[in-house]
Amino acid sequence: MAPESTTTGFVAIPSGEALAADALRTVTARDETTVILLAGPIGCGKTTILIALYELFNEGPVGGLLFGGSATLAGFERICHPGRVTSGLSAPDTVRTSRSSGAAFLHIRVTDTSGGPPRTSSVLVSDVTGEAFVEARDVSEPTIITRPLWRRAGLICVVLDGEGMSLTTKRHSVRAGARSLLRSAHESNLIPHNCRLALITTKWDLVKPGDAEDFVTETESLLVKQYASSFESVSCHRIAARPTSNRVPYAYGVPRLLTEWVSRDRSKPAIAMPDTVKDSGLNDFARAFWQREQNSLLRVFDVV
Amino acid sequence: MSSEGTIVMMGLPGSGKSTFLAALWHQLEAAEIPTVFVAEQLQPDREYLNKIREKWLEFEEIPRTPIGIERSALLHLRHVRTEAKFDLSIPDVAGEMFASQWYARLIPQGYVRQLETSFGLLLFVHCRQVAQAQRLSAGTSGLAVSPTQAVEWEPRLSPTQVQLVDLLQFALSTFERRRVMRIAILISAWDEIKERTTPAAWLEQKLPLLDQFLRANTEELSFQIFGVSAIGGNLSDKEALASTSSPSSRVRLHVTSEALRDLTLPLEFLTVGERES
Repeated sequence: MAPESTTTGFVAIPSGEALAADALRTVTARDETTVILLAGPIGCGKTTILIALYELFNEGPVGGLLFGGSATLAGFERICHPGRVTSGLSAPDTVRTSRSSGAAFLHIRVTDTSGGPPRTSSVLVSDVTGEAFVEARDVSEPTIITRPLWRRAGLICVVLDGEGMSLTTKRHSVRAGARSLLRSAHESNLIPHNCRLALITTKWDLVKPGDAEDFVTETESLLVKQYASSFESVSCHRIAARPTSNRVPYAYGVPRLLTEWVSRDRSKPAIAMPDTVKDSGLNDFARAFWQREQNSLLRVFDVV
Repeated sequence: MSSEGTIVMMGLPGSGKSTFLAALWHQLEAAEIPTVFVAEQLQPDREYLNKIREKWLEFEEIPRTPIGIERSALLHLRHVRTEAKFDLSIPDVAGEMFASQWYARLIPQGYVRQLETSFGLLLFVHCRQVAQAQRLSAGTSGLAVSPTQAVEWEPRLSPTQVQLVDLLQFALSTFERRRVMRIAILISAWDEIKERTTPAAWLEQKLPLLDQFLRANTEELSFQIFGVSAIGGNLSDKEALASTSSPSSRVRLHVTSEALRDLTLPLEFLTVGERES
């Protein structure tokens, strides 16, 4: 967040917009940080989850966690705008994340004060077009969310469109999309060690009890069975970030998701060991050194 | 020997910075009521302070500080309880400068230097100038207005608490890391708040994002929240304002529900630290 001098007696300060992939170090150098990939096709509700989380913090602590700041306040304000009265709209909208913005990340710093000394950590969550994950499903070397970014993720959230899963004509396509994304990521060796998986079913207010709900449960079981072994842990979440009925409250499921985002097993490295280290044939001493010193090294180098 | 340093007054336009400074100057110069700090000597140039004090004494609105013209109060103070001496520089910076940090992402170099070495911050929030985020109801889907009615996002549309968190984040990143930054939050026009509440409870209710930010960063900052009525009431009711025994005693300062008069208490928090109750 260091200002840059200008020639006019003013200093320029960071824009506060979403961070590009090469700017994540501004956050990771300061805090223990989890990089999160929100993966899912266009329109499945990825950005709406981020909007709901930020709007909840505007109203108070979320999931017992305090808002400790954000390097991307302007980025959050921008995506929240179409859901606010100031937009001039009469119903909330979500602007589609464009492909041209590339891999961008939004940042939230949280502090847990529930027992013991306050514990602060950061999450960097991708706000990337769904096309990026279609690409990752279709090719082994994706260009939007690149291999180094995948390898940096501490948590991969596969987002399943609940509205689609409630329709008999679309539900198998939603399931197949998630399954083939995970398979492709696994077989292309995109999933780092110690990475967690969260399966998020969005638009839960539109999933009718009975047949549709059963299909969601079955999909979760199937994906857990097939891919749990590729991840450190798996959790399932049902979310209605912006429900259209009174069946569930605003941001239903979001506080629990946030606690999952920040509940990293602290005995494991914050960020996956870089490929360059793992594959370079270094001996056990080097490996142990990396395990012990990685946090200080990552503060100096933007290792991916 | 005196400790020298700056106290930065921070706040969006119209948040009550100059009015506070006028009333503070009067209390120090006139010594009408007991205060925790006393003025050891007058500063050489008192023109600006006397000008705003005059308006305050005559129950007139103090004009907004023009952008680009920075007035500074240099106060030579002695802390009565500890006998410690302080030379405090308190620049009166236009609120537009702080607003433009959020809008234009530019700030004056001089302000950065003040922040680096300051004792701490006086952050002003006017109780009637809090813009909150209002979420649209999702009861209907799709856009119900034409594109011409839709308003593009621009930073000025952001809630007050977001802009204030941005100001504090930058101040924290600039402040000398060796020290904890002390922040006195001053909720101005406190007399206009009719419900029974305390300044801390009001902040938690009206500006929850700012409240969380303060509580989440206690390793880097220490804060105290004050409700302040530097005018002492409504300017339209000058008779009532004039009925107090002295101009200094029309001031109200609240930490709890108890009404205090001493405007140097926030300065004490920034320089000497928290009082033992």
